[in-house]
Amino acid sequence: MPLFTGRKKSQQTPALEWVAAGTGVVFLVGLLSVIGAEALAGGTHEPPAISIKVGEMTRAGATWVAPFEAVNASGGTAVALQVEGKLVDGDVDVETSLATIDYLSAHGAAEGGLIFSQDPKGLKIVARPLGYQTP
Amino acid sequence: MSGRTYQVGLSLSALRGYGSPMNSLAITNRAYASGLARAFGGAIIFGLPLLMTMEMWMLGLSIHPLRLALFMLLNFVVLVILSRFGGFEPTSTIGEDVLDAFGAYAVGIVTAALILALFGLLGFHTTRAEFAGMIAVQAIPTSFGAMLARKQFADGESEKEEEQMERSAGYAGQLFLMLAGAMFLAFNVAPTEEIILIGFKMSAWHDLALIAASLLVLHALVYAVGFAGQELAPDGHRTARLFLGFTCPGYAIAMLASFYILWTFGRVEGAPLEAVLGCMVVLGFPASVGAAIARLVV
Repeated sequence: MPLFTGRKKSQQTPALEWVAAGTGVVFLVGLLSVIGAEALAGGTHEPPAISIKVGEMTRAGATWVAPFEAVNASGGTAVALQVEGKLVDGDVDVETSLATIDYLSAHGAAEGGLIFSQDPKGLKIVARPLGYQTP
Repeated sequence: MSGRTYQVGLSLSALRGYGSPMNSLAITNRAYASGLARAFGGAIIFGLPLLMTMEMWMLGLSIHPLRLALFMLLNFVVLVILSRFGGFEPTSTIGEDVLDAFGAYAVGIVTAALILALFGLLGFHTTRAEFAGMIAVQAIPTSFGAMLARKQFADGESEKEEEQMERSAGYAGQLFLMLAGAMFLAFNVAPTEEIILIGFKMSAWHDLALIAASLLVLHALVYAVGFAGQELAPDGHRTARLFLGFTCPGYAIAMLASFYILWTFGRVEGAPLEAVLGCMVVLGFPASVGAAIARLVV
């Protein structure tokens, strides 16, 4: 059994320990306040408000790719977001493509591409979100 | 030598003749810095499996924020008590344990943030809430690893370390260590879908068999197998008393830890009772293993 001397002299805590502890406090308070703000805002139940911005169509090998950016303006997260792109000639749908975004966070953005096999010269591209799952 | 000095007097280390110079008690910056370095090592080792798990990244945002905050606070309490029993540097007062817990959290948060940034998961494009959520969730296992680092990497015994071992030898201390180990291992496997899938694949007979196996593993690992750190059973106890006194509470603790973690991850709401119980039994197996080895490892 170890024997103890009774009350020891209190030792000085090294400066580095205070620095590390202080850093920890700052980080923890920061994280908790952001998380707390999220909790209070309670906005995670609103449906995601998705808008799709389509970029310049480029040729990639034997296919044509239209890059797009999906932006979520609301506080709800969307999982498995389906994006549909259509090449239209006036009123006629020439070709349709689908893309899936795995995860689009609240107030976040994600990028993807729609792939077509037809030459888009003279055609217009229309993209819209189709549906999503709530996490 | 590491620059630490210890008081003379009737300390066991002096009797053993470790030969360290003994004057006043002073822990230098350098000694604490080497403790911090061990903490970083521990944070990486304990945190890396979860840092590379896809579901944990998504969990950062989809987890209910209040439950996440609660988990972080509970984790802090666990860190303080772990520090009492042997954290990444020897301590003697609760105040020092609190300081060390904050230090371990700092190490954990920095480690998580750095590795997530290295993997390209965190960047300037991530929203503030996603940033905080992802780091906060990953900081739990990394800070846990930071706190445990000393036992794995430290060099030699000292008076304070013996004091710490004394503290953990009591019954409450043993139960607490089982809780910490159970929570850690359960947290490691809980985020992924496999828990639910395994729960579906198992029939009721499988569940009963797994409960028996968990109890057996818990009982055997500590008392029958000769692991390093295995303690002798207290005098006068027979296997039945050991089973009732340690193994059964240990499994209860494992079940409680499993339920709490499932609740935190939102797997309990809206799920039928059999599904929840199935998940608890599945999660209870790694939790039991964690509870068993915690007393040996910490």
